[in-house]
Amino acid sequence: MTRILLVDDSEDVRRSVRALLAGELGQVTIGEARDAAEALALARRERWDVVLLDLSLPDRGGMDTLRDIRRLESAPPVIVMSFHVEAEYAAAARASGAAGYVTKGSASAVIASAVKSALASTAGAMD
Amino acid sequence: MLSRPIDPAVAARHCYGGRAARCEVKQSDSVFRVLFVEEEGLGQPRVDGVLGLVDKTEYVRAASLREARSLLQSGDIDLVVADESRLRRVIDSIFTLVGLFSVGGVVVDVNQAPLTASGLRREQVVGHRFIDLPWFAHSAEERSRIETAIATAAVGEPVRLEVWIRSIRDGRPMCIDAAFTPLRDQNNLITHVIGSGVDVTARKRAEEAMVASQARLAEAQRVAHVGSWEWNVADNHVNWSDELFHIYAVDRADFIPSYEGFLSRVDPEDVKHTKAVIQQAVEDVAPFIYDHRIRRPDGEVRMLHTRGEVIADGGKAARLVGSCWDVTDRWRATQQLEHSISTLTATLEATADGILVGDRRGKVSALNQRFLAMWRLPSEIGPGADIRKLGDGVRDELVDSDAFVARMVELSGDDEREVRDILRFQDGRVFEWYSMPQRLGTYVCGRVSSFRDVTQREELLSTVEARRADAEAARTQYEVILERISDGFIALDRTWRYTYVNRSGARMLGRNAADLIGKHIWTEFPEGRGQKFHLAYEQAMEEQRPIHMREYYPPWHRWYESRIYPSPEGISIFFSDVTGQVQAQQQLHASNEQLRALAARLDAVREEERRVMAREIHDQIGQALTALKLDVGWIRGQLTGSAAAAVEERAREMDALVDQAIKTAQRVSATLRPAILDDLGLAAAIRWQARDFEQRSGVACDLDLPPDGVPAAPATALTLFRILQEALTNVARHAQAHQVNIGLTLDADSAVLTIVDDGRGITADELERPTSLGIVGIRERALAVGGEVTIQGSAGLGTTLRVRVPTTAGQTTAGHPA
Repeated sequence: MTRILLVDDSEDVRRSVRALLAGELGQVTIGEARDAAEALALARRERWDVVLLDLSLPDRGGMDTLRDIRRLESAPPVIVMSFHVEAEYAAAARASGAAGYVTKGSASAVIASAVKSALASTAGAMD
Repeated sequence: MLSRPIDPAVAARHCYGGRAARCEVKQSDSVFRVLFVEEEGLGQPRVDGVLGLVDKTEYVRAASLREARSLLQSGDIDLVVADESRLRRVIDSIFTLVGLFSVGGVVVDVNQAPLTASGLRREQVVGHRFIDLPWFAHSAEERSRIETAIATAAVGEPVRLEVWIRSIRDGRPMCIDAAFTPLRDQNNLITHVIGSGVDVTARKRAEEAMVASQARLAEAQRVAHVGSWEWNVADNHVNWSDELFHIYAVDRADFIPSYEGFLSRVDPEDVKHTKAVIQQAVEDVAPFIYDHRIRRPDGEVRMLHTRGEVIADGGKAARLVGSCWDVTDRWRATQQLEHSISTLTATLEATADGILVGDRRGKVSALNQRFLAMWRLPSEIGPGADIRKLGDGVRDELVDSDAFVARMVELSGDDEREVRDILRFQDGRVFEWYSMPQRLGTYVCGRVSSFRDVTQREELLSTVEARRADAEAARTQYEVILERISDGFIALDRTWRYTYVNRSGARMLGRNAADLIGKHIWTEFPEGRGQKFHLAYEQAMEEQRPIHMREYYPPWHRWYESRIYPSPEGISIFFSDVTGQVQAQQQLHASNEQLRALAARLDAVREEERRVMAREIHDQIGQALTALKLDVGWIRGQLTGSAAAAVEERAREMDALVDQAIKTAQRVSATLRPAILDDLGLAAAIRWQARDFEQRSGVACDLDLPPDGVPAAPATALTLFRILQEALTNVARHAQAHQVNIGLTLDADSAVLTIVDDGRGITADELERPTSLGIVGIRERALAVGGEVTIQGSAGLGTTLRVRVPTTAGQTTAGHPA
């Protein structure tokens, strides 16, 4: 079963994303973290196919968290989901190892597509 | 034997009885033997009375001198009686005074001459001391001389002397040439003294007269500086008088006069003429007069006036006699006079003044050409011309001829008057006229007038006077201004003494202006020595350049502003008490600092508020909108059935509305506080801002930035970012630029942001304009973090803004990405 770690301090956002992913991906396990610490703990402890990461976390910078996750052994692909629309963010995220960058104002389809794409690459890699 | 010793004087008296005889008396112990010499022709001796004097007398007769001599040689003859009447008559008849004296000076016998001269009789003198007799009125001195002479002769020394006596008969002074000689007997013993005397008064008088005459002549020659000479042509023997030796300054012992010797003393320039004159005189046997110079041994030149006569012998010149008059003094005086006259004449002509000398009759006695030229008179006018006529001829040219005429009249009536006057001519010429009496000793012999053309001087004076009046007026004006200004003004000369202090200056110095004039500034205000104003005054004076300064003056605890203007004469200082102004400025400065701090604080607060608001928008609104967006999307995915179309439509509109809300939230958030600055750092933020600017303004941006992640302190980064935003806003609004180059360098100490546009270029006026709030804001932001800003505009070439702010390394701005 696909396992996705959702990192965002907003309960509302997590709920909406969860509904979106459930709708798009069907059987999926979604782990949730409210901050960077939780995210890293879950990432270390369990296997995740994709991490959806908000850049604005209460305890640590999103980019740093991204790099921390990417430094883990068998690190999952990380899709950064940020409210910032500036291209510099996307470039910076990619430079830090993100698999994709979607803004929070994007259509659900865009977000779903990015996740699927990341999953596909993961599957390919595992193949 | 004689009964008693015979007194020879007594014996002689008796023996001769008043007749001329010669008697010798010798003493004998036994018989007094008397020898009678009865030489033929001598007469009979009479010895009456002699016999009665002696007890025993033996008479021996000698018939002849031979016999008498033989008897005498046999000895024992006490008395010789010789009848010498003839000889006596001879002796008595001569004028020579003759006397026979004993060695003790007693008169034994005299001839008639002294008796005649004295009026005495023989018996009155024989037997008496010669000098005791009243022969003459002997002076005590002469008496002593005679006594000494007799005594000297008595011891064997003949004496000759001249004695001045006075006749007792007629009181006539007489000079007697007297001689006293010893008379010796056959044993060569001195028995008597023979005295003789000749009246030489006449000769003496003649001699004295001659000596006096010669002395008077020599004296006359000496006084007159006239020497005489005589030249015997034949043997070339020359005689000079004493004075001539004196005139030639040669010694009689060293110089033997001769014609050649004379010529050798003549001044070389006069030798030829001298020879010619003398030669001519000798040839013509004619007297001559001429002047010639001589040289004394010491080189001194004397001028002699010589007169000579030629004495002929057989038609030929035998002797020349003449005199030489030393006229050197007169000659020199003449030379001096000629020189003086020459000098005077030359001076008269050389002077720039016109000179006119008139005598008491009003006639010209001297004038110079300058006078004639000045008065435009004919050049032939000279001494003798009538001065009044000269005046009449020129007076019409004068502006005030009446005054001139009146002056002439006045001067003619007052010899002593000295006058200085100004004569103005109608054609503009101006003469200065100085007239004073000409004196010869105390006698006024004429009048000297000098005229000086002072036309130019008068013109100059009037010009100078006019300028002086102008200058005075200007000075008065300046003084009026200086006295009215509120600034203090002082003027100091080069010796640091006050030459002027205006009213305000005196008030500020707390002194009376008049009291300070002439006083030394640092004596009056010693507390000022060494203060900055003192040094500035000296510097201004030394370097001759103005100095403007505003300084605190500790002695008076006040601030002064001084403007110091040097000149070669000294320095002028305007000064004012700016203590109030400085205090106000200091307060203003303090207020500004406070204001700046407040503004910085406000800005910080605002930034913080913005940051918080931005975060709130992001965290709350943004997240809510995000969830809403996703939910709307989910809803739209769930719609099926007939009603779906209508719901879908509403859902789609809702989605659009949410999108719009999200975009607004993102924009507002970014505007409030660009999270990119905190999340990605300054370089990323600049890059984003530049792109945003390009999109909004259409002005191309070229960037030269360090790599992302190079750290900058948050405050530094924020300051530079806000400055960039402000600068780009200015570019967009004012620069009319097509291209902007943005550069950033970061190092350990500072961050430098450079923004260069190619627009019209900011002007200096725009830079300083207080309404240029963008510029002011940029400066204030930089200042708030200790940075600095330079902005340079170049017309048509754009504007360069350079900001340098200190930075502290170590902390990146990335930290709280949303």
